[in-house]
Amino acid sequence: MIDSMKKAIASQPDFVEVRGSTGSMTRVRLREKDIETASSGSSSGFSARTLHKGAWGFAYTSDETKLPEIVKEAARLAKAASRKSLDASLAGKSTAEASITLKPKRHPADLGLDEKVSLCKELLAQKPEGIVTHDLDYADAWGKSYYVNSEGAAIEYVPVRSFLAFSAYSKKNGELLSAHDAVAGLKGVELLDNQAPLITSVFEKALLMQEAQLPPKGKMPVIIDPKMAGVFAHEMVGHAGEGDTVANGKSILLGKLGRLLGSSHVNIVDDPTLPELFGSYPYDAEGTKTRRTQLFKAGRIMEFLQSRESAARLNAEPTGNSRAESTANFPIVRMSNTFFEAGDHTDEELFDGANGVYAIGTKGGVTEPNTGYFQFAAEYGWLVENGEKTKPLRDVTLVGNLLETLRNVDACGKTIKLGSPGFCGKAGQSVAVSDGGPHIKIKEVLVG
Amino acid sequence: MNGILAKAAKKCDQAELYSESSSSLLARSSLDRIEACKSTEDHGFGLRVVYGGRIGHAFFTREQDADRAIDEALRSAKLSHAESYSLPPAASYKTPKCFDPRLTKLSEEELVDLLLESMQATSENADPIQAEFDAESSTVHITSTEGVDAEATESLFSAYCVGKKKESMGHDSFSSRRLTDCAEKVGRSAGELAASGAGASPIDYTGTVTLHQDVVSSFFGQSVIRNLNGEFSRRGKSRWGGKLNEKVTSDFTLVDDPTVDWGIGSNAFDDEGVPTQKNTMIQNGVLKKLYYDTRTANLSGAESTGSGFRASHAGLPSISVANVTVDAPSHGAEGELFVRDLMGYHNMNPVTGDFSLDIVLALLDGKPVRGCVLTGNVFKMLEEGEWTGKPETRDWFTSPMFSFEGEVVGK
Repeated sequence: MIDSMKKAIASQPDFVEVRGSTGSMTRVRLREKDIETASSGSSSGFSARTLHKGAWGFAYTSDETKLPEIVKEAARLAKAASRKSLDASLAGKSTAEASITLKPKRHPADLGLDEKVSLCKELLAQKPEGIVTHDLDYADAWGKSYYVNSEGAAIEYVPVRSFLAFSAYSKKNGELLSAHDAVAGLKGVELLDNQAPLITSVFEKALLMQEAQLPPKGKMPVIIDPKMAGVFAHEMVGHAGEGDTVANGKSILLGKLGRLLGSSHVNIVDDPTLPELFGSYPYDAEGTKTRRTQLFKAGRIMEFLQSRESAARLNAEPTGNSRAESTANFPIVRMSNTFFEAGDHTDEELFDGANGVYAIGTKGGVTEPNTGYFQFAAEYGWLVENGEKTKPLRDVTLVGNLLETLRNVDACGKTIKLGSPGFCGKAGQSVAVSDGGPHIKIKEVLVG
Repeated sequence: MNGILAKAAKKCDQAELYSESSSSLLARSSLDRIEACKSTEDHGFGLRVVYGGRIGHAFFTREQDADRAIDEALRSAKLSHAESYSLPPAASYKTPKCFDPRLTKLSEEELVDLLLESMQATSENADPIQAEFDAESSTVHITSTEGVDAEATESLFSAYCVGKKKESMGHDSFSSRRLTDCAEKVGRSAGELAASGAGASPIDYTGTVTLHQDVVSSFFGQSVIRNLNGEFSRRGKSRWGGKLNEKVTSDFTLVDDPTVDWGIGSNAFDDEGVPTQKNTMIQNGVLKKLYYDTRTANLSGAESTGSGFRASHAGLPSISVANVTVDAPSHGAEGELFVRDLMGYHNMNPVTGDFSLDIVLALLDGKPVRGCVLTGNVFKMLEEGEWTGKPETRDWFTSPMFSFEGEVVGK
């Protein structure tokens, strides 16, 4: 495949890159113990991107035999876009030649659909009394991805990913109450090993929600758990630190590089090189080798996340954060595994004498990078009174502003937990990411 | 396609092949410059089989993978839950207008012209930040051993513009089955929204709140429509399960009609080959119907409402809406606080209707508001509030605005 791709781009006058992928996947969906879906399939796709006079042309096909045609099509489209071009260029050079194959303990291609279904069913304990229903979703994907460009890069990557999610529902006074958890990573079917405690904890949370109350409203001290800390790192800080968002004037962090914006406890990193995490990858979608990026150090903003393209616009170095949902999509700046680093407090110290809300887990979050306003929904929480967790809470929503909240980070725990998986959406594209951090105490957040 | 179906039929009781071919052309700007033009051509198959009343599924891109897909689909059927399922029968279709051939002839130069026109309109009130114009067409062909042979071609034209004034971003979008002269209007609207939000500040407020149609549409999508889903009802995840023909909300009528010409969700048939139909879901506040695809209908002892749609050839059909209209007496007065944009809808509780959403843009007596939270309950709001102004169509949803006594927490 690499040779076909090199041949297709030979003798092109402008910068051109070709990405390709062929892959397979399995999906299993259990509604209680019945299989709603046990599905599998294969896909392939190829795209070419050409830079002509500062503008891009991009062409995609699912038909492998049309590689030469899409290279010509991308060149034609780039010319049309160059009429009043952005003057785009690329920082650095991408000349890597590499072949990387992940070797999971149990490759999903080696197990039949029936074996995967059996492993999923084995996880399910007897439905506890009070649980209305529950859903289990498992998926795995494997295949090959290829990258070739006119600077000489030629990269073949053979990844494996798997994903397990479990939701349970209880009811009180006719009101449906839910709990959820998920694990995922660059792993094979071994992801399903030893996950019974995850199922049990979700059942327990769904039942706990029957006792939960709505939270008090207003600004108050908040302690967040490692999953919610990951949401703060990813949603609140990470999106505003994406180089294309900054270059397009859509980030509140524009013009603030090097400035002290947060308390000394704010240390935030994005790292695609961490082994086996859901957001990890060795080379990005422009062929740049990945590396750890320190977004914040002791409250000071150190670096933005960059593709080669955004780095050229911001006079920076590429960080290996150019990603695309599939070969059919433009590569854009994305996060990988984003997290708050550990602090020096024990969790007991964070709670000592505290009054406010303890926010646990996540149901998702959104941020406006241009203003820094955010809204994050915790999975559930506890009312904290004099350092004690006194009443369970549901529908806990945290609302605030990035700059104000960074200043209000009061203390971080010693122990961090990484790898809370998710799919991050941006510009209509969804990519696998993870996040995490320690327990964090924040002086004041608006609880809704 | 018939060869693949015939091979599958030899191994299974029933088989259905879904084939989708699509193409698109897109132009995109960044700041006040052209960034890129992009074209795509995609093709794929979804194979659904039935074996002993059990459903199996596989998908593939290349025809040479069909044999493997047939075996995988059969394996998946043998593992699946026994539910006495049968694929839908052959039917005749009445095709609404949903294909504009002009969209397949649009050139990249013409799309770039639209971008430049929209950016010029945005720049009258704000800095252009981004714009995107997209022309798509797709052909779906469904054949089955039960005699279904349904083919339809549809098109979609979409525009999206973003402007910025100081810290305030404004964005607007437009979608249509037809090529539409909308570039100047969408571009100007994005600029005006950005300008109207500049200098916004948080407030505390209790009083009459009026929601723009975009906000009403999002509330309905996240709560009311979800509770009309037959699958959620079957599994105890709808507040309206078992309440057919009961009064469930205030006196509005909610109709979903995929049969109208040029509707954004219009189709002759759904992605299972079931003819689409006009569905009255709620009539004067009384629950009249729930949405079903064929599988959920079979499990619920109901009829499909022609609402089984696929996200792509790789997915199984699931319940989705088409063109929703809310018809209601509209005589409410506009409130002091006009809410144009909220964020975080996916965080709201769809069953209870409780919400706590961050205000992205609102106007209090014309002054911009942001950084505060609108709290309440959708179903209580619908009971106590009033529809306001004339109906307006925003993509898949048509309704008036809505006014209610609400609370904003901010300072």
